[in-house]
Amino acid sequence: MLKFLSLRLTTSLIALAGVMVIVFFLARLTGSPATLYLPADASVEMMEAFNRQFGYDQPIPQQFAQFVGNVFRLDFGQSLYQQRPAAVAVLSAMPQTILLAAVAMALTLLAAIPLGTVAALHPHSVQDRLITLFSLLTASIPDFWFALVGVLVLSVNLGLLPTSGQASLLSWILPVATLMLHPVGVLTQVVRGAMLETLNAGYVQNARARGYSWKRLAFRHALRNAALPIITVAGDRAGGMVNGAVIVSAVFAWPGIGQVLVDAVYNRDFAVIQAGVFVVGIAVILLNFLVDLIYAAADPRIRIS
Amino acid sequence: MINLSKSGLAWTLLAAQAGLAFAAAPALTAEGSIVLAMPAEPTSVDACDDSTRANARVLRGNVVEALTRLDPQSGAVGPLLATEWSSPDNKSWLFTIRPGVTFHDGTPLDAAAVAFGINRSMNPDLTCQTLSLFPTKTTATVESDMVVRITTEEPDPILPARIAYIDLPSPKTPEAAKSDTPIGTGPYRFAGREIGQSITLSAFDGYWGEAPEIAEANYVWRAEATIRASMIKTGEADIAYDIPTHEAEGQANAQQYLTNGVFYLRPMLQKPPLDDLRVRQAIASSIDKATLAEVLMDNSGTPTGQLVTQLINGYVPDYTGMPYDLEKAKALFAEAKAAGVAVDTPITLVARTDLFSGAEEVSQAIQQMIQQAGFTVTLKSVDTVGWSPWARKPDSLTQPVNLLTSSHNNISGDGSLTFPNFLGSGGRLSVVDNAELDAKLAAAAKASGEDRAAAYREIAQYAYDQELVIPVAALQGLLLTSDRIAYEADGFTDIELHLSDVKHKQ
Repeated sequence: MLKFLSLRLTTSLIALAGVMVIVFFLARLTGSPATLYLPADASVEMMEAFNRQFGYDQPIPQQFAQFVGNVFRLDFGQSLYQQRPAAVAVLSAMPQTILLAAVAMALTLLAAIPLGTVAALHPHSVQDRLITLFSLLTASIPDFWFALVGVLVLSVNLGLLPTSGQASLLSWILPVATLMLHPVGVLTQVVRGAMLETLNAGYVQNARARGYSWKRLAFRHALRNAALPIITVAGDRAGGMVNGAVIVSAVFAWPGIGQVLVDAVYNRDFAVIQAGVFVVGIAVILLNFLVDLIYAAADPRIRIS
Repeated sequence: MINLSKSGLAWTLLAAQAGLAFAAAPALTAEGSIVLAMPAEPTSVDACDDSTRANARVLRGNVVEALTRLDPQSGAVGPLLATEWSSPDNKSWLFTIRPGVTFHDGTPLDAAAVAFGINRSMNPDLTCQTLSLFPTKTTATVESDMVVRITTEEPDPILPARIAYIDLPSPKTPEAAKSDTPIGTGPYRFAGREIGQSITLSAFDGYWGEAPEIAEANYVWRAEATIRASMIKTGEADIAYDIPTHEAEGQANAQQYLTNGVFYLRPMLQKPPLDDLRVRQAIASSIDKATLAEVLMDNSGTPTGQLVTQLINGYVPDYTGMPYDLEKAKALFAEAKAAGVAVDTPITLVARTDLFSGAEEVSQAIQQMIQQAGFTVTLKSVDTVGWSPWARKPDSLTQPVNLLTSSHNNISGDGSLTFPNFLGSGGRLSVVDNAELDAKLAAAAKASGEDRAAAYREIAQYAYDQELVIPVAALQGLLLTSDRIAYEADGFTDIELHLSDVKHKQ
């Protein structure tokens, strides 16, 4: 297992280094930030002074060499837009992102696992059809539309929730619901499918014939054997929550990493783009590690292999 | 029952009277707080960068102030931190500094502080946004304790108007680096900032002018217009900027204001077929500005034929531009084709998508309209950075033949911040190379008063007749306010919102 994890770490770090190199050069292909930060009629002298000040007058290979040297000191440079160290700009957005993602994922699992299991226990019943309809609906509704309609109905018309910001615990409800929307639908279907397959397995039928209750079978035995696909999809969705959540940031002004990265791309804030990709990359690597460990905990065969 | 002596009764009545008088007196100190929902966070909070909309809306007239101020209705120059000014010769100006003014850090405002602020803004290495407003090298020196001399390399008759854009920071501000905690002389001090979330301004007790009514203003950033409008409806905000028309329907406190911005097309004059006047006229005639403004711009624009608004001295009264006439456009196209003009050459319509909400859809409609006249038009959608090489010299001169979408905003009151940039051969955004026009622009720059206005009007009329630029729509903004406050939008609201103009509703 340790060998597997160390191999996984090595390949992940190589992939991250490759992504960092690609991002460095692609970002610079989008044009000089000077045209964005200076007035449209700025003089050539002003443009040159700007490029000199931020090192964009240097040849690209030289900029890259400097960038690589700085990365080893975890120095990503200064954010043009936020006017503070890029690493600080990115790291300050991470706690809110991780907290929101953790809450949303926990609630997603709490909702999807019972719903999927109940649907699997009663295939083609009214309950199953209702749960399937619910999961298809949540997986299909555009999250941007859901967020805005949520604000109009729950905040403007009913006055129950704040529209945006983080003034109180109530302001978590709409962002969390928006973030949960698609994962709940998808995971419910995954749980249903995995549980159906497991519940039809011979050992379950055998246990059933011996008089075990469906409830005990489902939650004690079948769920554990159906866990692998659920963990895989949940891990993938959690990664999306960590590096994405742009809609939630944009609509609800949630200070997450997704919005920081999108702003950085629009504002040609190369230092923040690079720091953001690095931090999100590390977060995704750690998340994959966590998923691997959960795999091993759920299925002893993986530990042994 | 309580027995009162005569003197006791008198004292009691006096005390009651004093209490009533105190209760009825207007509040002498600012109170209450408001929330402003803004679409974008400032890119810089340094005083020398506050000529851009996002920066100026928070800082100008609130935290920092300049020597002069332009009237939001007429554009006339008025006193602010300077009480008077004169020009002893055509290359220098003397400004007398208002006495009794202090910065928020307690530093008194004097000629040395003013000279520091102006020279700091003019430092090219600091790359201040305001620097590009000054066409000629400008320096400030101390004439006496309370008089500053501003010298320009070339005569600048409108320097008092231009200097209205140089907001003055405390002399303790770093001279060679941008500041993230602006200290000015305005009615509000910069109380705090949470990057990405909010900026808070608090009323400054030592303000030299009339004390503001609002004690604290909290600016929050909400990129989504629906959320900004919703915040007013739920009472979470008191002022919301840049609201689309459909979000303001039925709102009693919606105010429309002129942004002084104009959306226009710039034909690439250097290459055929756009070097031919008939072709440019055909394009101008093919654009149905009224439909664009009403349908696609959601009434956030009004059709215009001019590059500047009434506020600017180059505005030509009653001129509305070439009217929409598709048949005339087709006839001009045919006439040019018959004369051998390469009208079949594909024209790239460079659509800058971030000019205003719906800019891309408007550009697509313009593409269709011009194609109806017979031209072949391809659409290229770009953001500001992608737009730059098409717009700015020297790259703009080597691009394929194109029509560039752009917008221009001039609230200075003077044509010198418009016409030289777009029509002069030296203008960074100009593709015009006309010696006669250059001479007229040079003469206008040196003129003053009505002569100056007449000179810019003549230049503008020539540019419109030659379709050197094709203005499409004057842009308008929409503001929502809550029931708790009173605020009247004016000609400058789009770029600066003075918190001291915001009052509690009685």
